[in-house]
This record gives sequence, C-alpha cells and structure tokens, in this order.
Amino acid sequence: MKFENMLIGRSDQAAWQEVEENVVVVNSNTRKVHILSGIGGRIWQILEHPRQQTDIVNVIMQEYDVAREQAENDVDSFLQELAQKEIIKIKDE
Amino acid sequence: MNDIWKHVRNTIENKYIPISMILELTRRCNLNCCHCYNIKSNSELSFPQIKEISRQLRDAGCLFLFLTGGEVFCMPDFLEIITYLRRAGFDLKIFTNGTLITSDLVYKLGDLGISEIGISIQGAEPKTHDRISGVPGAFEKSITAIKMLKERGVPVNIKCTLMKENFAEYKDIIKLAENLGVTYVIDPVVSPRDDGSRDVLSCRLDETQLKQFYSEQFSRLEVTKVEENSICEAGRTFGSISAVGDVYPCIQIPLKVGNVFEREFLDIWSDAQMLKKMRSFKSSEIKACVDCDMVSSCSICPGLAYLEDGDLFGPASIACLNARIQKEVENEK
Repeated sequence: MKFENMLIGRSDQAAWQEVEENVVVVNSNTRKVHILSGIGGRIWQILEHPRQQTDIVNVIMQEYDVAREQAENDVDSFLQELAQKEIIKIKDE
Repeated sequence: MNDIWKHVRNTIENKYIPISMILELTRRCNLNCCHCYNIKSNSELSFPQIKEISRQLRDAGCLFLFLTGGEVFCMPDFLEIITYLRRAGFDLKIFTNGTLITSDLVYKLGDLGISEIGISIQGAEPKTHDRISGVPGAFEKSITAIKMLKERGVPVNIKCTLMKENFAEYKDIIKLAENLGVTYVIDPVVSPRDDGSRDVLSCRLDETQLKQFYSEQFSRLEVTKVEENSICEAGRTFGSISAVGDVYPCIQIPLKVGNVFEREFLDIWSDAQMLKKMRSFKSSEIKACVDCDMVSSCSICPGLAYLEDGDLFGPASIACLNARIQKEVENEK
C-alpha cells in the first residue's frame, strides 16, 4: 500500500458538501470540482478525522463485504487519485 | 461536463439546494464609500450565532459561502470565524476593502485555503479612491494588502464600481490590476441603497459614458445570453442571510422571508411563499421582455428590478438602458 503507516486526512485546500449520495469536493487552489460517488464518498466521510490506510480498508471490507486484497487495491488507487487532485494530505505518523 | 456532474447539477437545480449563499457578518465599516448600498449600523453576528448559521447552512446543502459586510475585518474574531467556517467544509470568498489586512493576517489567511478575496478599489489614483471611500490613506492600505496577499498566494479579485467620479481612470484601474497580477471586475451599475434611498444614483454614469465603456470594453465583456424561461438563481440555489439573521432571496432583494434565529433555515427555504413564487417564475413571463430584441444583451436581475422599479417580476429600467446601449455598440461593431 502506497500510504502505509501514514496519516491521511482532508487537505486544507478542500471544501466539500454532500449532495444526496455524492460528495462535491472543491480544490480552492485549482478551483476544480470533483464528484465522489459510492465508496469514494464513503471514504471521504471516513477521512473527517485523519486515518491510516489500513483503518480505511477495514471499514470498507466490513461495510461493503469485499475481500482484503480487493479493498486494499481499490482504496490504494482511490487515495492516489485524491492525492493527485490535492484534496487529501498525507503525513508521516 | 461528465454525466455524474450533470446529475449532481440537476439535483441541485431541481431540488433548489442553496449551494451558494451570501452571509453578511456585520454592518460596521471603517470607510464611508459614497456609492455603498449598505446602511451602516452596529448590527453584527456573534461567533456563536455564526456557528449556528454554519450548522443550518451545512444541513441545507450549502457549499459556496460569500462573506461580506460592512467590513468583515472590523470583527476582532474574524480570523477565528473563517477558520471555523473552512473546517466546517465551506468554500469561502471574502469581500473586503482590504484596509485592515495586516501582514500577520495575510500569513494566516494563506494557510486557510480561501478561494478569493475581493477587494474594492475605486480609483487608480490614491486621491480618487480616498475621495470615494471617504477616508484618506485608504488606497495605500488596500493596495498594500493586495500585494501581500498576492505574494502569499491568496487569490485576489479587484472590484470596482464604475461611476462619474472614477470613470476617467477606469482603464488605469484595469492596468493597475494587471500590473498587480490579479483579476478584476468592473461593474458599471450603482444600485439604490438597501433602504430604497436613491441618492446614490446621482453617481451613475450618463449614457455617453456608458456607451464609451461598452464600446471600449466590448471584447472583454461577457454578456450572459438569457436562456428562454430562465432567470437568475436568487431564491433557487442562491440566497442571503443578513447581519441580524434575516433570510433573503438575494442580498439585493430586500424582501425578508424569515429569520434563522426564529426558524430553521431549511424550513424557511422550503416553505417561504415568496421563494416558491420566484422559483415558478420564468423570464418569458416578463411581458416587456418577451418581444424585446435587446434581450440577448440583457442580464435580467429581479433585485435590480425591485430596487429600481418596485417590481420583482418586471424589467429593471437600468437593465433596459444597459441592454440598449450594448445592443447599439454590438450593431456598430
């Protein structure tokens, strides 16, 4: 996992609002708007308080009934996408 | 626009989610601008009241929050307020005159992810700006703030209301903004004051000046083409809350629909008859506009129509004048 043993939280540049089942996230620096749906929206909710990647994987496995390997891969690629969009921050714990 | 974004946009529009709101934090101001629509007073929201409004707006679905005054930096706890609102999730834009922004504040603002700070600049020359704002030295302070914010990476947008007093130097205001490396908005419409008084209208450009402005700035202007049956978002996905907690469809429409300290905002937003009427109203119902060949050059604004001519659902005479002049300029090009 790319962010193993790191603390992941929402970026200081991010603004967000839930619109029904989706989460609209704005990067105030780039002014880009991103829509997070389904599990993506759920991961954003989990990130209300900074978490480790394994904590997120555990919640997703439990709530969506998926195997660890698949949850790890999905969470990993999703977090990389959010990091690239600069709407999450990653810190060494 | 991808499908999911279209879906979200449709949801916001069809369910009248107040995604954008203006929050007037205070009516105190340290300047005395001759053209200001705001009636100065000591009305001001306290931090606990702002926290309560924040909760109500988040619950109602608001994302984009515009903070205005009065002068918001007159509030001693303004930095704590915006820190709180950013942590709550709002995208923040702040309207200010910039004169009270210190280097210490700039440093802290840089960490908060503020989307934009709009700063009023009413002249390219210090004496013009200071005369309009009624306070000597205001220009210098505002320009210093803009430079510091720019240096710190905070997006700044210069806001200028064009009037007789500064018309001669409006091109220099544009140059000033370009030299400072910031964006700008030049608005040629002075609105009546919040209490309906019209003394400020004497500042307005005359027809010759308006024509010169539109002619010179034609290529830069973004004329919003009015779609059939559409009107602005006031009362639909956009609204306003005053410094005493009163709810309005727009800061420019002084028709109160409730108060957030007496009733939950979402209930006001869902139930107010005035808002329901605005939502069902279509621009094609404005009889004077239906067959008007200038409608493509016009931005229909119910607020201006109400303040100017007393009819929210009618044309605004100043909008008609602007549209006619823009149309003339367009035809001459």
